[in-house]
Amino acid sequence: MERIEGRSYIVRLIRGMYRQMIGRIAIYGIALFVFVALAADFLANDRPLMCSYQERIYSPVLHTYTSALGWSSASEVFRDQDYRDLTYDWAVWPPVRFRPDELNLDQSRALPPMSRFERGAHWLGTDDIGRDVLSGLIHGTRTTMAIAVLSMGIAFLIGVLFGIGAGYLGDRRWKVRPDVLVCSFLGLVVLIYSSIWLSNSTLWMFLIILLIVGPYALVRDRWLRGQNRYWSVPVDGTVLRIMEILRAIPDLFLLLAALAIMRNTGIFQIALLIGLLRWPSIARYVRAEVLRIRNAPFIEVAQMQGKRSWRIMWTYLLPNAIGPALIAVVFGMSSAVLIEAALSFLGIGLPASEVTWGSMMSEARTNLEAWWLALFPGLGIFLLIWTLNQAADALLNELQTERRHQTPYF
Amino acid sequence: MSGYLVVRILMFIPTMLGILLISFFLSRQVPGDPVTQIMGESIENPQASGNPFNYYREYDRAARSIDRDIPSFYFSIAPSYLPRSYFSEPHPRFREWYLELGKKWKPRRMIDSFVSDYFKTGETIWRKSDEEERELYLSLEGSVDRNQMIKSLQILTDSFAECSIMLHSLRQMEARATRSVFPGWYWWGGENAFHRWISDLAVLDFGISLRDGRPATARVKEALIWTLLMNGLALLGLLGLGLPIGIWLAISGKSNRTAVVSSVLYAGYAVPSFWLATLLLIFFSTTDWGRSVGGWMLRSPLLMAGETTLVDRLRVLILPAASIVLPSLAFVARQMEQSVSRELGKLYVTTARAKGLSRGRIIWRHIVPNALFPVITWLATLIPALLAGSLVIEVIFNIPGMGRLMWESIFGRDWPVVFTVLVLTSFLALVGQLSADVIYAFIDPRVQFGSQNGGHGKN
Repeated sequence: MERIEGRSYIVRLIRGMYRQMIGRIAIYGIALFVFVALAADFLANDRPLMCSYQERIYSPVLHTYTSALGWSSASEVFRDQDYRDLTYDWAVWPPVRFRPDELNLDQSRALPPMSRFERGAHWLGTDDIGRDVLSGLIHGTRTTMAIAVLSMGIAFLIGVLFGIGAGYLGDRRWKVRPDVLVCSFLGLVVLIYSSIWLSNSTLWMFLIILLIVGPYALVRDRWLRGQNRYWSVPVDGTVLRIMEILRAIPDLFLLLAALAIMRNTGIFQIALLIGLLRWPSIARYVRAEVLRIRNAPFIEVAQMQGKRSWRIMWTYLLPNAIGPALIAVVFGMSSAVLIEAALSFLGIGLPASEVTWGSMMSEARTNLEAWWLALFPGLGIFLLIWTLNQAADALLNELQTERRHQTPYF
Repeated sequence: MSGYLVVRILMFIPTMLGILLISFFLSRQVPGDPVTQIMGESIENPQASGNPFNYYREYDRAARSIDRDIPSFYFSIAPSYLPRSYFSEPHPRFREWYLELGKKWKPRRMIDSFVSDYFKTGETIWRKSDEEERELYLSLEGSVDRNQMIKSLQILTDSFAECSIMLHSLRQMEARATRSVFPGWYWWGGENAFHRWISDLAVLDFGISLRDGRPATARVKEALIWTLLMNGLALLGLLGLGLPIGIWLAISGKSNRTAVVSSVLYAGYAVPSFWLATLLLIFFSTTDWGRSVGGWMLRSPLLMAGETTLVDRLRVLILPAASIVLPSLAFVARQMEQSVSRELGKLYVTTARAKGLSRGRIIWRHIVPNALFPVITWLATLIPALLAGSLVIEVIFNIPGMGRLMWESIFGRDWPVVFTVLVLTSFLALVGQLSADVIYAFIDPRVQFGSQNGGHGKN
């Protein structure tokens, strides 16, 4: 049997998506958001992209990157000066000439869109401490996309793992010898215990494990010769129970409680928590797909050939399961965007100084006159979610047509 | 059928247990010391301020009121050299002391009695002692230097006879040769915080709110009424609007009109509910037209306890319910559409048409009831999402529901209420799920056989 390239399957899915018009729009839309997220510093910054000042050519925007990486030190020429006040020989400016966290405390209230300011126009207005809305939108894309991609990546990994395992192994296929099960369980307890109480003495940890495992491994084969009792691990039942528990607890509540408990919360922690909460939705689809394929002839052939379970899962089930999983991932991304926006709307998770779409909208709540603070960030969220939903829908159509034409991959 | 029911209800228990365990575990990880929170003050260095033993006594009393002076769980797996009082001790400094003493000395019961004698004797002799003696006595606290402690106690015993007990215990302690790294198993029986918590929950005792010291039940009850009303209204809107639209979409087939409606609905699905809520709030409170027409729909923060009549509550809930309904409309309509399409292809429809029944009769008396059941049972799974999603809406529109209660409690560090709300909402969600499954089992006799084959697609 040939080894399947998972990549070409995904590429084919995406190409099929492209054929539909709505899928094309969705792909362009997502590409646009990704571009804005990556190029945020180049689109909205208070310094020129490239300029010639006093007969020398600089690139101040790139300079922020290089100095953050430590490759060059801060330039003396531009220190302590606002880039926009200087007169250049020539300069190439980014489209939006404000940074998202740039305050202007002289302002008494928020400025509506198209207000002229001595440094440039605020095309979408500002909030009441002078932060430009458009710039905040552009930089906020970065945070939102990062959390969406990261959280769904984590959810994908866990969901596919558990989904395939639960679907294929069911409740009876994975059989272990009782002693292995008991030993693993004890080993787990030992590991947790030693990490709590013996963290200063890793030597003790290893010695314990060795002392327990060593002699037992030596006598085990002799002792158990002739005993053939196996216990089956109820993978499916366990995974279903966990999924049910996670489904019963409202997402936002658990997120709030968990984030309130954690000390240092940042993008990674939020993404991790969202991923840990959302993997059931992916696992559900993967499991359904695996259940569908499980009794197919080619799997039976592989089993008769004596292939091990995990080999079957990795080689045959995984490529077929990626399709539905991908759709669930894209849908999940749109809900992750929603959750992240709700979290930053409530002011939880990221530090208050960081500008995201949700935080801008929450400012509108205290500043009801400033409708632009609510409209534009929400519009951004709406467009992103809509694009992601359309993409997922197009993928779904593509998967269904492909399913009608082909038998599963082998 | 009843077999399936029984199994389903039984499976409820481990799930609920899992939720309780998770909530309890999370509630134990909260930062800060909850005892000092309920005492209202925390003294960094009790020794420097008057009589520390009064403070310790107050601390113990506060700890007892929130079940912190007993072990957390039914059992503990911990190093075997720990004295048993370690697990019941609420004050972090004294836990530390138990730990240090246990590491160096044995037997453990001597350590237990030594420390408890420290407290008792301390209170007794405090009034009778002078500055120097007090200092000497307090130097014992937290110390593990046996020789130093014996010397101090010998000096103290000259003045106070009560100290001789402590001296006696101390002399009986001998040094440990090595610390055993093997864990010991401690069994606590029913006297632990978790057991107390779930037995309180079982009789609907939600503990004392840390914020105002009153029982949490009152606030939770009030919040529950608001949340149920709001979600009920939203559900009515969803069903009232979504179902007809879904039916219409399925019956009209593929046409331009349905395509337009579908895409509008789909766009509505992408609208974040809190964005819609904020926009509605802005519209109805700032523009003149909005204020005159819709001012009565908003809840003024000043009238906090004003609304008690149903009409009052409902009028304030119109806008919040609308914000919830609009985004979810697409979902419900789509589910209904799929369900009706499935029904349309079935044989009994052809039969009915062949019998000559009118179109309306077929639709309303035959198709819709059959199509409704999967949709209604699916709706039950919406309940946790509704409860959670309404949080932001409640915050925006200033409705004192469960979501806002949760948020306030988290920010106010009112942990009993936080975890009570968590458990309660999960319980409601589970009950909703369970009732949906029961209804489905009632209606569809095939289910009892299908439940072995991985369920009916709901999991």
